[in-house]
Amino acid sequence: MGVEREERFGARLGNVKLARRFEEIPPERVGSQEAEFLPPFWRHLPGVVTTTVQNLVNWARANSLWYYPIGTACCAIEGLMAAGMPKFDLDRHGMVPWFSPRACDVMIVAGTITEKMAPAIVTIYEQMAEPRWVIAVGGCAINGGPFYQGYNVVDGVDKLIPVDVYVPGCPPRPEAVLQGIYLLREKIREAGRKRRQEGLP
Amino acid sequence: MTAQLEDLRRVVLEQFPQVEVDPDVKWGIGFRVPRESLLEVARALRDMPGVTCDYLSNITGVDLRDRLQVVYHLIGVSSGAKVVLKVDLPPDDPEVDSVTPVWPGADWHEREAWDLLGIRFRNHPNLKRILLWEGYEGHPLRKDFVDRRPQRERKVRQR
Repeated sequence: MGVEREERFGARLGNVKLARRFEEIPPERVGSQEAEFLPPFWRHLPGVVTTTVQNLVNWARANSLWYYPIGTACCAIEGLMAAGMPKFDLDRHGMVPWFSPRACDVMIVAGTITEKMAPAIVTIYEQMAEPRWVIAVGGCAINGGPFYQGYNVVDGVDKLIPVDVYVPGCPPRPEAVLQGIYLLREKIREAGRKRRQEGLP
Repeated sequence: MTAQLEDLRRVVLEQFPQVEVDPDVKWGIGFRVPRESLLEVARALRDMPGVTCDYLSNITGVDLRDRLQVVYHLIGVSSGAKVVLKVDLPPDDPEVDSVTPVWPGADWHEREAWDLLGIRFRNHPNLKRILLWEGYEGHPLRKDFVDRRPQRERKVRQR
């Protein structure tokens, strides 16, 4: 932790020092999609085996998406609470809200991300095990929304971590959040297909 | 000296000749106070029998480009008095006496005014930023504030 970093983000919460410059996260720490594919050992097997196993793994992953809810503003009421409650019921898709990032597959960011919240978001994302996905719910999480270029607002969570699905709205209805989740499931089911078409190992 | 609500305006003007009445104020009675006499006016209003503005409802800072303004909203809980004090400050030296000796609840309000508008409060017990972090450059609700945060790029994962 250099002196310059402390000058810029000197915020402290008790003994936990949040000071950090996340503009400078190196690209290799952003994370790759490599973890979505089978390990290299499997790729030497015949194609029908790898395809079947990859499809099986994708099926399992798409149907048991545990999500880490980050609700910092009003989108949490629609995108996390209403979608998770019995009427729209994310549990029937195998999605469980889990409050440990190490056991989660997908992070649902619903709400405005402020500069003080940004180090926590990056830390939580780095604690999640790969493969990991991110859904940005609402205008604030997409590009700042009504607080665009605010003095304390990060203009979109994709300035901090890579985002897979954007759900627009202010706030979006729970059906829109469900559709975003369906898109993400579709994306997970198709993982590896493009790689096989291109003949890559 | 007992001041009823009707002659609150007259009593204040008699006691402090440097104070003017602000006719723009629609919420109760408004006074424009020079910053040197803010503390004694505040203390007199709090201790005035029959008025007793014992509750400081709000402290607001305003940037009017040619001057900074601090607005105090006072309420007498038992008497129902509503008083607004306005203090004009020059933008190059925005310093005013803290009213925390009079109303201790002014502490965080004044820290917020310092944080967002850069108004210094003399003799404040703990004048540091309350919403933004220490080390933030500038005071963001000033009209001439320039955001100096570096531009962030979108994080895109390789496919």
